[in-house]
Amino acid sequence: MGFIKAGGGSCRINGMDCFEHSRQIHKNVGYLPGEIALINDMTGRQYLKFIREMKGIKDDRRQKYITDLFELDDSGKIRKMSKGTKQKVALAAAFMGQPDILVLDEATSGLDPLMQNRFVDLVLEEKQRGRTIFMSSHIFEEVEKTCDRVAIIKEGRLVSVENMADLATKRQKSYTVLFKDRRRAAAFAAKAPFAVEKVQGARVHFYAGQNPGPVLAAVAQADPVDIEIKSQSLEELFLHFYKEENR
Amino acid sequence: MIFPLIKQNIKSCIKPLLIVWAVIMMYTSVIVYMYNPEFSRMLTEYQKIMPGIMDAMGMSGIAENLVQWMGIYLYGFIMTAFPMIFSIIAANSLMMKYIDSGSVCALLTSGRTRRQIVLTQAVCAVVFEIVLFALSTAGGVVCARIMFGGQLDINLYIQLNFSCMLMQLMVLSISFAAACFSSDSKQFYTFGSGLPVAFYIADMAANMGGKAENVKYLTPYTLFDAVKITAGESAAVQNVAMAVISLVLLRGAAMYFEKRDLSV
Repeated sequence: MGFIKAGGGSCRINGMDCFEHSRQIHKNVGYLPGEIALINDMTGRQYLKFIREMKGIKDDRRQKYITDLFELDDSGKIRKMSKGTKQKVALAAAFMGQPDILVLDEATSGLDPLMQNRFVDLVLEEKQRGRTIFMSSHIFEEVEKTCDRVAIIKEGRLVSVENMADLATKRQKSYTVLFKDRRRAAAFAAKAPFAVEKVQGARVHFYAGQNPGPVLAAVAQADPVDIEIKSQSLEELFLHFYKEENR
Repeated sequence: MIFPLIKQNIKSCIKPLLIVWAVIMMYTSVIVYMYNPEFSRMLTEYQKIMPGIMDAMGMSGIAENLVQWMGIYLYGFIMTAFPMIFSIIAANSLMMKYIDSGSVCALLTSGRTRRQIVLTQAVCAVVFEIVLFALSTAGGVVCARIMFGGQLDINLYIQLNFSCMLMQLMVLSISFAAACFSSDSKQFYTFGSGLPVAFYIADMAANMGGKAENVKYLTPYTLFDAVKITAGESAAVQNVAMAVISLVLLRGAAMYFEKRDLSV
């Protein structure tokens, strides 16, 4: 965003250097920082008007649409606003110019679940309009619903960049099998043809491929009491990546 | 220049400007009211009794006319200290507040260059300082006209205020530069207000004379000499020096701001 100079490598948006051509870049970028820092002496309305004037945006209809979408009461002083309300003001400021590119850092921080859903709807709407959206999030559900590509970062380094469609095929199923006693559970875990995640008492937990047929066949031979199957969530897949990196 | 930012700057600075101006006007009207050659001789006796304090406040010498009177009793302390307070407030409101709070992010992502932003803030700060002195000068002329008719040498009075304004622009440029270089308020207050205050104290010490007289070389405030100006001596060289110092500091601060990293 042109706040600091790169210590190494390069950073470009639309082919322009992020520090040297910051002005040209920001004419077409809507930015939502991770740490919201608004101008506290203003009301929300004054702040949005100020940003509109600074950016040369004459039409306020998009701003009104977004403030209505998030049910934002922008009449109060920013210094007295809650975290969530400030976040809504910042969201309005980022989206109101209808930029081609949106850079959103933890966009739903401080928002309640209803507003988080509204945010997802807004992102999907912007995608339909052809915007490029670059967002960071710790909420996997949000990422799953909105993103076409996912980059996983661990300790400041890129671990993996995946298409969501490819990630879907990499997802495994999660199995939790209950046996009559610990002895049977341990025996199954020792002979299972797939990697066992953990054994808790009489329960064995493991991940296996998308096709449940061979897994069920193997489990059936071990005389289970109960079995629970679910698809691996993005969060579980993410944690799996972390574990793989640690090995 | 960025006009939405200028509007915001006016809102931020108008109150402190009017407050400082009101304080200056209060003292100006009182000092003008007290003008009395007899009273001047009485104050000279005070100077003999408390030479240190009176000299430190720049209140030394005999006034032979109204402008000299004002030069002695207003421009040693009031017109040095109170505009200094405004300069520090202006530098804080126009630059440091944004950097310290992180809201400089809003300015930097508005599609304006850093150069436009910092030059707008610098020009606004300078203009506000000029407005403060213009209002103070006008107020002083009005007070003198009401109380003493045409006794005030307006030409000398304007020269006095012009030089004082250039000195305050130096103070402003020190504070503004401190804001452009600082990462947080603590650093700003250390240099942006600490240095002007230190220079002022050095000026007070130099005024007391004696062993402390050489301290005058350590402070730019000594470029402004109200007594000499009101005596009719030229201050052109000093004025140019103060203007150059201010310009160099402001330009250097702007250049640094354009290239610095900002942790937002």
